[in-house]
Amino acid sequence: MKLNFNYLYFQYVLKEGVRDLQQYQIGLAASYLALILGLFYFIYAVKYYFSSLTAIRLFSLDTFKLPKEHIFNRILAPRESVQTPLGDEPWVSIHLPFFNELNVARRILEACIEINYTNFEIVVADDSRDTTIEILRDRGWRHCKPIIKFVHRKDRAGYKGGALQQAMKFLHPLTEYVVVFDADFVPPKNILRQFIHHFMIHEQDVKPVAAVQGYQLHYLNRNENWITKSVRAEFSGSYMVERVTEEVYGMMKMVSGSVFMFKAKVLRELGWTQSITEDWDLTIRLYLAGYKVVYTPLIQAPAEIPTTVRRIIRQRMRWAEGHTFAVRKYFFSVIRSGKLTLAEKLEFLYFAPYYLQSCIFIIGSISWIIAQHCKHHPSFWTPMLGWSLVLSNFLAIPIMGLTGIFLEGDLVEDYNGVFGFIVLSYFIMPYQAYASLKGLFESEEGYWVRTLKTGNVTDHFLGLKIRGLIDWIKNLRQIREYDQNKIQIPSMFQAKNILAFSSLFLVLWPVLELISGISTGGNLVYLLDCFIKGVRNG
Amino acid sequence: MGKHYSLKEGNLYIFTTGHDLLLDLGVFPKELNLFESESDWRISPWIAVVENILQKTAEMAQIILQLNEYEKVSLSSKALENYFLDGNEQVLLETMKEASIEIAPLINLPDDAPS
Repeated sequence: MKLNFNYLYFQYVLKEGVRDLQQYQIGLAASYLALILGLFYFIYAVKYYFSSLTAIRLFSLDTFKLPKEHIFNRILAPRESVQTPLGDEPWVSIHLPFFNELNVARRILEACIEINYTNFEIVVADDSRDTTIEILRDRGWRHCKPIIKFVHRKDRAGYKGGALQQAMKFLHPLTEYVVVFDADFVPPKNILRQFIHHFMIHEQDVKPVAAVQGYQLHYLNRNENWITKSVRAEFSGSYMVERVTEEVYGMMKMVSGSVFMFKAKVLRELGWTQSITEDWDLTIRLYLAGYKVVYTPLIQAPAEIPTTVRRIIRQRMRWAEGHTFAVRKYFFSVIRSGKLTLAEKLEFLYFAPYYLQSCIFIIGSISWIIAQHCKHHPSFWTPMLGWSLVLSNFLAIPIMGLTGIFLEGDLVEDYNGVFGFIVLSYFIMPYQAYASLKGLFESEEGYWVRTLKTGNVTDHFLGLKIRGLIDWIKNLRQIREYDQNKIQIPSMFQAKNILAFSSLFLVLWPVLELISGISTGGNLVYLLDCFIKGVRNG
Repeated sequence: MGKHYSLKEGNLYIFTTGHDLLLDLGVFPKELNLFESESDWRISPWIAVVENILQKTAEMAQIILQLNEYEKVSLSSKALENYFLDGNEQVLLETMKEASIEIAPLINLPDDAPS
């Protein structure tokens, strides 16, 4: 009987031991995985914080006092300098890819006709299957100046890239530059002159410029619902903060589907492909050919924002799939290429798994939850380290978005969009993760899902955002002094400084936590406590 | 006269020179599928092109064009394609002269055309 009891007890202990051991191993593995993925995600977060700091610095400086050739001055190139007289301008061909654009076709055509430029034509690359065709057949367009050419295809071979490639066949022979706008954009009157001006600024660059990318200001229906507000904040962070930083440090920049001017010669040479992310595919190929893209937030064209979660999800899934597919296709060519600079390659490496972040986030979060549940961590793991990583990663994009809308002068009106975007990004994440994995493993790309444009306008675009940038920079100090005298806000509580301090704190906190964890096994607060006690005790 | 059409390599080219403006393309019945979604076509202020047109459709289209005082001419597709690209009447004029075709005075669009 006693023997039997001992045997049962031994079995119980063994079982518990094995379970403990298993739990220990699982906990440890999950901890390490969560930590590695968290740190990987943290690299992205660091870039966002760093970008926020750079953008705040750039837009806070009185760039007029810097040398003309300074990179800050080149990005914020004053518009009032050298202008080509009307009639002597290089010939420009504006390409408008259409696919069932009934709600917006007339609006963009009318906006393009109004552009203040002489030597240009408009080529509509149309794949429509609906009554958009009736708009295009309207005799009124044939009486217009500039010339409008309509090129219709009965099939959608190659989707947008195919349509744009078709438009390339019918360029005016004198064409020197090609500009592309999606149908939901409303280009301002001076946009072509601004593009040309930026090409001129970069004429002497060592690396030839193939394209100038402007700001896709998703703004026209920003007040339609919480989704439009969220996307507006997201784009603001990307275009006002992230891309500006990429320009400052000469990183690889993307041609983003709309609001860009290309040298016609280069575009003829490279051509459009049939990729579902034709813009990213073209970007990689142009860098491989030894060219570069220049970005400026000063060239802005307002556009519509997708209005439903479903539309956003479908759009982002296309981006995720096409982007990852192109990365897989060109990855080793880019890495081996001698035509890309180190900064460009690093940016490519950073941007390559961009959409795979969703997978990383999901796997990392699950691992972290398992690790917390098992309560078995590496010796240097402190709860504070986990939380600091989570918080830093979680707040990176919101801080960048807030910085973007602050720099545009819309912080008070649009700050809530940032919180909406956090919610939206969680909706999108699993879909994006699935699409990026599809792009990584599929042998052929999927099909193009178009994003419906409604033509709704809630906010008219009345000129340059970025706090009326040029004038704002000129009068910055006066305004600041006036505001301070009036409201008496201590400088540390100004929005700019709050954003900068939070960015710095959120980068440094996890790093210091990790260091203190590895070196002492305790968290940062414990370390500080020991330090203070040590000082007190001499 | 500055209203012409040409059938070359399966493509129908409808074009004008001088003060003449291109006809309203809505005159072609939908059934012909000339400037509809199921065909490849191009329109510029001075020339409209339908690609790979069927023989029967071409015959019907010609009747409509003749009713609208369009005259059939035989020009090389290269000359017509170039005319689509740049609208340069000078070059087309030369080609038409060589083909002994009566032409209208040289102007693409009236200066007072509404914009």
